[in-house]
Amino acid sequence: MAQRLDRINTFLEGASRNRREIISPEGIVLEVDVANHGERLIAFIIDFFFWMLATGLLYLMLALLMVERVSGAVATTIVLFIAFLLRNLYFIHFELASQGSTPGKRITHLRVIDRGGGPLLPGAIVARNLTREVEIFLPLGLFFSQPAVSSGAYFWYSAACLGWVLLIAALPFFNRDHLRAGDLIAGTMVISVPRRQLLAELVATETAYAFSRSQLDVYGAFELQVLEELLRRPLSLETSQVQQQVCRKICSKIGWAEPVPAEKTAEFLQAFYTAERAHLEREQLFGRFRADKSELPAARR
Amino acid sequence: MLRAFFVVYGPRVGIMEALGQFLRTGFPQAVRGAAWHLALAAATIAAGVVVGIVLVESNEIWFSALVPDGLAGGRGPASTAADLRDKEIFAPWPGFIASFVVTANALFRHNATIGIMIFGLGIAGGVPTLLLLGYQGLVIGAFLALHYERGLLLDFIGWISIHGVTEIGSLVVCGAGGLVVAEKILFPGRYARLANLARHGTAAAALAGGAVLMLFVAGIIEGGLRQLVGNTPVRLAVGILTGAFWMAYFLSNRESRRHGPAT
Repeated sequence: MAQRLDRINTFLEGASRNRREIISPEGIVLEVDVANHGERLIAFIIDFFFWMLATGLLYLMLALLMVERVSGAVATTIVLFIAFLLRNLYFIHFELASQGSTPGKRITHLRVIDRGGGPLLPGAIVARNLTREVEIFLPLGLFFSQPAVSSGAYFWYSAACLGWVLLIAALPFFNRDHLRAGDLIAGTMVISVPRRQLLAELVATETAYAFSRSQLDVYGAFELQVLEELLRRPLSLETSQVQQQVCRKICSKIGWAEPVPAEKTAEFLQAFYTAERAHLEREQLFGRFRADKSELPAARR
Repeated sequence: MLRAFFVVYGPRVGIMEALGQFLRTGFPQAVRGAAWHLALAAATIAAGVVVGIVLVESNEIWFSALVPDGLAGGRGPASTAADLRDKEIFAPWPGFIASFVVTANALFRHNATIGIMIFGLGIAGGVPTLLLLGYQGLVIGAFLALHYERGLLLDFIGWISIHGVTEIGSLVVCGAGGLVVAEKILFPGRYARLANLARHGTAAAALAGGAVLMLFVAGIIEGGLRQLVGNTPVRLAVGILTGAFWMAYFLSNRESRRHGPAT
């Protein structure tokens, strides 16, 4: 299903810049969309927020314990240890537990997959998340400990360190698949899997047009789905132009003699969609599925 | 189709299962696979130690230059032999909680951050990895020279070996992880650099992840056991025993090679 929808999308919108093909171990070609920088940043910020929230709660507990005067040093240590675990295991745990997506990734519909199409191994997840320390926490630390310009040579020394580390952190901007250093090491890739919502039926109950069987035999399931996608597009000048174009094409192809006025285009297409869909469904009931127009119709097979 | 792919080829194990498998086979296998990198990392630390000893031996001012204040903890050119013996090497045991929980933890977090850093910087061609390793060696060398000057060399070695075998071992393993990454980038061989890195990166990360676990053990030994065991021969013996344990562990589980990747 998803593959057919992808085919319709590429037909209507042309090839997308972020489209990549991966091949699963069974030899099936899957098309995936590489997540773009904005999505990944948002996902990270959400995760960072959750993580900070959890850490903040921990410290709040610690502060309360301090106020209550329950053995300060031990409580501090335990809290610091849990905070350390939280920082290092948050991403690893969630990517293992929910098929390569942390809560932030889940909200933004991102997923981690193996770049070669193979299984995503736990080792790869650990690899891509251990590197996070160098990519995010090290630059942050260096940034906040950056000395003033007036400290002379030391300023330039730490500025050079910071610049170098920032270059590593900026790796996603320098390659085609938006891979960060951790992805490079682990052989993974972050893809975007937008959720498709189910829409209402398009089929009209009564139509003003009647089509003959030979007229409906011109097209197959793929063309029907393209038409459906076109009818579902939000109304705009561009959409109506495309619809008129498609309408003219259909008319010439099926030999529809009377001209369809511009304002009746959508109505005509809707009627044609209803009739074509009913026809194809009926044919399929008789075991005669037709994928697209290049396949011969059942009557002539 | 894509969703089926996620279900079939997504991660299939929970965090505990993955950890168990990793400890049984993954980590020892990764260590055995990186012999040359381990050797190079160890050699770098050794070189750092030698340089540290030579520098501090020639002039003790070097000690304060090499060792940051936080790490020196009041020890330095000004310390006397008695100071070092009573406050550091044979300091009284501070009690269960303070040693096993507080000290062990602080040490673990400090060391683990350094270890992860050593590994992660492997992506920058391995130079910073070697620099960090060499620097750790320098610090150790500086301490060695400081204690040698005061006739406490053997006691100090005992004091450090009880946990140092594990701790320095894990730094070497982290360094090896970083060096594996660096090697796969610099010398890709038949593959494209990225493909080569992806093929071996997981093993490299196994090294780093395992090393962090080693550091956890080291932290517990260092924080607690070290002051509990109060004489030098026993400390040396414990040091040697831990060394033997790690060797045995790394050489264990040899034949459990499976066909195909574990999912």
